[in-house]
Amino acid sequence: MKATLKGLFFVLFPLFLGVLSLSIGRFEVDFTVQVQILLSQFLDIEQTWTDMEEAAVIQLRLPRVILAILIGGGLSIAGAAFQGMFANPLVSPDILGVSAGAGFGAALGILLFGHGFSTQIIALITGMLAIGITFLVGGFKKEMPIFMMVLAGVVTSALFQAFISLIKFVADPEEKLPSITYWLMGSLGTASYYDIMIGAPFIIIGMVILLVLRWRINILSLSEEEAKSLGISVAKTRWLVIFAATIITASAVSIAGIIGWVGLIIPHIARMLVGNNNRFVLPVSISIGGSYLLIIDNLARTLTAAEIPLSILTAIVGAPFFAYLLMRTGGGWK
Amino acid sequence: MKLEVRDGNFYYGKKKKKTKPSFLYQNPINLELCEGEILSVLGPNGAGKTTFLKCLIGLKDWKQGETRIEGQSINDYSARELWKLVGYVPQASKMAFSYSVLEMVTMGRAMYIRSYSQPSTKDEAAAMEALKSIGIAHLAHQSCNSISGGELQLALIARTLVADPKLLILDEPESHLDIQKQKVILQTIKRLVKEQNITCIINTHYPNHAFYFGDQVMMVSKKQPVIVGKTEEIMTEENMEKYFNIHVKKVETEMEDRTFTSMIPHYLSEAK
Repeated sequence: MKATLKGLFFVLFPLFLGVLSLSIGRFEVDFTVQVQILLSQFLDIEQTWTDMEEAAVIQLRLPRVILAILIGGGLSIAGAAFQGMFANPLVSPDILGVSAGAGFGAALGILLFGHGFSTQIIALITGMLAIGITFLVGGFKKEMPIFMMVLAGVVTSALFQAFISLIKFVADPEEKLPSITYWLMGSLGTASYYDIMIGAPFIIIGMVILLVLRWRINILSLSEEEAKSLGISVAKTRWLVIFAATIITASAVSIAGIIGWVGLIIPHIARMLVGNNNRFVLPVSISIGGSYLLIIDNLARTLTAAEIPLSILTAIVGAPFFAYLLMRTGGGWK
Repeated sequence: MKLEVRDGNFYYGKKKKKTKPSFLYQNPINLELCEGEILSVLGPNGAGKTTFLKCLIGLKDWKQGETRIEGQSINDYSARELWKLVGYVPQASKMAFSYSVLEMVTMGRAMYIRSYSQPSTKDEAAAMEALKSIGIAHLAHQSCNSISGGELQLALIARTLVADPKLLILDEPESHLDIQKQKVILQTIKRLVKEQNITCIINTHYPNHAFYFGDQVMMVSKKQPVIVGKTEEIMTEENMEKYFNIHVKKVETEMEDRTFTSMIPHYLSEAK
């Protein structure tokens, strides 16, 4: 009973925050009006509000809120899954190079076509390509230990970071360069239903795969031979986890740019709340991560007249918190 | 369950085309164990005891020969079938993320749980049962990193028991433990093996533990051929000198109307 209540809380909390967020913004919409507008999408309610208010809530804020929850939750569950699988609390979802890869694709897309559908697709493809290279370098031999994958990911990231720098170097400094730079710092400023249509299916599929495998991730965190001797097919399960985390991160980056820290920090908070069992850590990470990025995004669009890039805020909040965690635990997570 | 090794041998790295590979063991390993029997594996550090265990159950592949369970090569078993029969207890070590003892033991049910589902209350009940049979039910909700090395070793044994194994493989389960905890581990293993008629192979550094388990002993060393046989035939003063390069005296003691054999290293007499 207590567990069910807890579960219900974690499901409802981000939804509640989401509804609340719709009335937050520089253009004021009263909360009760906002709820009416929201309900009118499903029910027949007489319109007592202006079209402008409806447009702000439904066309601008709603897709943004949905994407913030999806991307925050997605990055967090991907981070939790990787931390579990690599048995390393310092791993984040972009450890295998997917963010740098997708970031390069997006920069290239902006340079060639500007923002839009083709840029997102290119980002998705180069994100996958980066993971492919990491696999090739770090996993080509069957007996290679798992940390080789992490090292290969570091190498791949460095390579794609260099490509990103190259594109920035050749980009037109008046127009393209600021656009690329701004985008690489992460933003949901351009969120639309279009983004949801392209990105959400990948993120949701990735989440479902990880949720299905969440208990097995406990077993993957043991030594490879131990995991094998418990009768699970280690290679296949690992591959599935990497695949799921990769499609989540690549589509998150392709929609909203590179958002750091969320996938690293949130799993730690989840573990503080529910213990180390990934059966609970993974779903709770979605809930907290979604809520966290939503709050950060609300701050990003309301703190100043211009939007603040998300990575700046996530780092300002995340880095001190992580430093606190390090000092408190001495680096050893019990 | 009957366990056999036929002509097993191993070497590291790839086979070079022309040169003969340098095998880890001087001669191919052959042995046969029946249910309820314990084989103790003795040998100096680096002689290949752990490698033998890993090859035996397919965690490493024999480069030559094979392991047979009930007369059938383990390569013919599916992974799931094999690991339902075999329980492997690695050396206990601390982990990055520590789970509760109950969570850890529940992982032993993995081969019975479908890939896309989570452990049920039935699986947790089985884990609790295994903890009871080992006598550490009171530790169920403690963190694995907070209990002692001996208790963790017992928990790892419990983790194999939840899957009801017919073959139990233990890699130096009593190492790093004080003498009282060694006693608990040894007694628990022997009791389980005899009660449940399990076939058991155990790596150990202690000659006296091989006497305690009885049945069969295998000795490995880099410079000597592998020998397997009845404990009293293998555990001789001559073999200890050949395989461990140490002089020992085999002594028999009477305790409670029974005769016990043990070995005393000669260097002890030098201390004065």
